[in-house]
Amino acid sequence: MKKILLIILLLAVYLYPQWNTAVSTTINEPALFSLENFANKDGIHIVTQRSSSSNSIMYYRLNSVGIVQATTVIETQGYAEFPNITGANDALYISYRKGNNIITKKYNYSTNVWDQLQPITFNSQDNFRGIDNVYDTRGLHLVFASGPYDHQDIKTKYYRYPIGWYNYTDYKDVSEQSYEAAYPTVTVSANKVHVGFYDSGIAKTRDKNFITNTWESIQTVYDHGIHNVYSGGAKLFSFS
Amino acid sequence: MLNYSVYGPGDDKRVISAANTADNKTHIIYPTYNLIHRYYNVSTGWSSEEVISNNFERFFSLSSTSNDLFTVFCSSGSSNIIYRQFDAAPLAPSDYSVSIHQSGSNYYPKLTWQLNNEPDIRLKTSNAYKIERRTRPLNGSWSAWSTIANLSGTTSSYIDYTIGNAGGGDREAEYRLTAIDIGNNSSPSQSVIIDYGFNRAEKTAVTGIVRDYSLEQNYPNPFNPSTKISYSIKEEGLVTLKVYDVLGTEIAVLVNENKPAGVYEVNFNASGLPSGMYIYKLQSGSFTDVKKMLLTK
Repeated sequence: MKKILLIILLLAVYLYPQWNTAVSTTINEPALFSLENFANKDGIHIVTQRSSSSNSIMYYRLNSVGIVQATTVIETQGYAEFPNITGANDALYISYRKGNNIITKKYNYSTNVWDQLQPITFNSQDNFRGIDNVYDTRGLHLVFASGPYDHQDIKTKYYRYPIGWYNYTDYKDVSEQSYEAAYPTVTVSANKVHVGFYDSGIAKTRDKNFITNTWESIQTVYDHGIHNVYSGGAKLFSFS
Repeated sequence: MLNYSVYGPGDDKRVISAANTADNKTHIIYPTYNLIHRYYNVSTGWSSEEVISNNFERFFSLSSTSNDLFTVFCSSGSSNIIYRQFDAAPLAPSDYSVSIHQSGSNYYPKLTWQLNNEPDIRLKTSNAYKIERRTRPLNGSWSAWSTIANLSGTTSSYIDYTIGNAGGGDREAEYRLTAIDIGNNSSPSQSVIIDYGFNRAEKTAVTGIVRDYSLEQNYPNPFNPSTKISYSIKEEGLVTLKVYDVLGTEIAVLVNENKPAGVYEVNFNASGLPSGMYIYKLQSGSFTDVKKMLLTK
């Protein structure tokens, strides 16, 4: 009986999904400043930001056992920062800030080249306070925050780049009357896009309903702190 | 509400990194003294914490495909990015079906499916898709399963050339498909069944399964005054069967209606017609065929 229980236990341990042993990759980033990844059928896609006088944004693709399959320099000039990567099984997008432009590069599966989309330009005097992107069947959803003063009049802005289009649409000043709408995050659910942002110490969200094509009211999620919103099934999570 | 003290947010104001999996779980990772993984399940709530790195990882990111998780992280004092995978069982291959593949005069089972999205299946050059088969006489006992193919992670079809005359007959073949990842985790199996065993004429007679259009010679021929004409229809549609004299004048309309696929027989009574050669013509879809018959009084 004990043997049977032991066998069952060993089988359970063996069959239960688990974290594989950590792999130290050959990606060497001694001045790492930002790290993001997205996975699809082709592997694990990574973007990094190196901190330097001009910054560099790098793209790497790992296979599922941690071997580097591709390395591409995305940006080496113009103090690029805040890279984010998103996509689907057949789509990859990297968005980041470069100077007073929001740059998005889309991977071209035919040419194996990262094509740059039309940049979004903001006021060159503006302070920049973060960017996020997410992709779904409605296209690329992009949010970023910028404004003329360090801690006031920072706006969180939303854009959508529909699949097959050649320009952004659906621009929205999501934060509107908020004082300091910084560090935005964006996530999607079945019928909505959810934008989270930090407003003078208060975590807030605002949703767009794609069925009614309207932005809903700003909601306060938590009374202090920077937060990240994330859509999981029928629930919207806020982490602060 | 979870109540945790996390280190951060860092310069990118990242508090957590999150990813959803196909089993309706929302996973997060976040740094405390360690890098922690937890997931939320609607029915059971938050899981207990699981340490995925014993270091303080300032930079971290989580992503997923199907039920697999992929995380990359790096400490401030380190320079090499660390990678870990939560290796779950693959999803069952979707859209698994069997159709008939014609090669020459024979017909073989062709299995097709959608490739899995897990990168640890796509990466495999063999043993990513296992196909097993068992057979039996109709309503008989199944044979034991036997593996007939171990395919790469980028193969999405397989033709079984060892089973002939597929699509109808007195035997059945069942094909079981399983996806297996690099960690040897197996997906749930998918199964399809197809009949096989007869040649085409036998199939039509025994099972009524029709693979093609046909117009048969009338019987008897010569005839007086009536004869039977058989024909086969491959797909549902408008069917016309008409009789003409040798000058092309329409004599009779035997069929003019929508019919489902099948084998049909119609009687032609020529009691009011003079002796001679007559022509009958079948039309359905793009199919047309003509045959002659002789009335002798």
